[in-house]
Amino acid sequence: MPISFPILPRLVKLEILSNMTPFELFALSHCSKRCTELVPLAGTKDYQYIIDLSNLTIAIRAGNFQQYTFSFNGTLPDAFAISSQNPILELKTYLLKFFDISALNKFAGLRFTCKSIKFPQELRIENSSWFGIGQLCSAVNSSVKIELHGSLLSIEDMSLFLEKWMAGEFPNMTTFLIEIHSHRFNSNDARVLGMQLPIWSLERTVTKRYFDRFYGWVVDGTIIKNVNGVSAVLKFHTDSPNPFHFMVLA
Amino acid sequence: MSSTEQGTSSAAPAEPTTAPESAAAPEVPESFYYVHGKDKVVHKVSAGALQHSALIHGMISNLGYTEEQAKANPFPFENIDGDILQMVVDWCNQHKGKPTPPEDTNLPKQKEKLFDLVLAVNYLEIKELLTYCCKQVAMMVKGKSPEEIREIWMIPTDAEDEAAEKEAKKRAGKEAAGETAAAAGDAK
Repeated sequence: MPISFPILPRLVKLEILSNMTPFELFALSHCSKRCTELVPLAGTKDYQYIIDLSNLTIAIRAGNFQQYTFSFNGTLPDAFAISSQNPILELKTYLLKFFDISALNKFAGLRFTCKSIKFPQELRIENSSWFGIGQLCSAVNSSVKIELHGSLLSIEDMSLFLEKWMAGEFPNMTTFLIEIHSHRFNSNDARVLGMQLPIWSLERTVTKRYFDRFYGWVVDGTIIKNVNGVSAVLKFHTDSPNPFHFMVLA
Repeated sequence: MSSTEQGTSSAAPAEPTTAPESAAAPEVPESFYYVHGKDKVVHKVSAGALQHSALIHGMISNLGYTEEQAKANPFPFENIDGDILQMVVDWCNQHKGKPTPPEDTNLPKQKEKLFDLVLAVNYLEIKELLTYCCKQVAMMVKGKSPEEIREIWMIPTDAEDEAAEKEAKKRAGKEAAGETAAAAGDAK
């Protein structure tokens, strides 16, 4: 009987897989169900995904900090182009497969079942209109840095989130920096935490913090403290280029 | 058993031509060991070259053979084909006492030979060579489609996997039934 890949010892397979790029691993995962189960040995669980729906790309940041991009409409020159009649459908198929080989819980359609999903350490979503307050409350328990663009979160949503934080309802919070740009942050005519918007410091301040390999800063923020004595710097100014900026201090 | 003492004289690195250091300690004569594969052809390999293999190095350390004992008792590797063992011995000789380069272009290109070599190297625990081989195996599928990967690495389809699983279950069931019947026969 000729020797084939499936009968190689597991440790040898692991060594082989560690020499493969996400593109090759993705192709391998399509060979059979057993291969799909095997691929996570290559550390795909640690992959970070950057999904850009406006440009139809999925970028993968692998454990070695190299980035690989799949482009579904072929506009990105250095990306791995996926030719298809229906790029959106193809992107969805790839996403499902990626989440399969990342050993994350599956999501149905394009809607995440977010409560059970472990979010990446650095969560940056360009078109985050689908990302709700419930998902934000889940994400703060696994992500370190959250950046949402094109969001539809409202001032009331952020008020709710901040009230929860003030009441110490995130005992396992891992996030230190949240930055949100929302289409609904369109007026300063609202109160948050009993304060009239905009919430910011009239004195020019820059608060910086290093956290692990991450770096964050908030300009002109005001200090708030929750019931557990944890301090944070907050700036909530709907006319500012960074309308919602929140950073937990050490 | 045939015996071809090879791999040491031809592949040994050339002696340095510089004048000998007067203060240097007298050189300890190198010890040699013998290995053979499935084809029973014995290969004479220096202890220095065998350092690459954690398995053989461990065996040597534990046994403490003299030269005569080593010659009389070659290490048998019945699960390794003769030509594959030859490749391994050659590699160990070429890289004896040298830092291993980041790439090795002398590895076989045919997939059957490469998979055989991977298994042998894994068994003999030669870490550097295993790393090269695994890189080479990964290179085989660079830029290939799932269908091509399946063909190159001989990966069975889901249907084939299921059929093989069913077959294995059936065989195990038959064997178990056979054993029960035999046990019942013995009891009578």
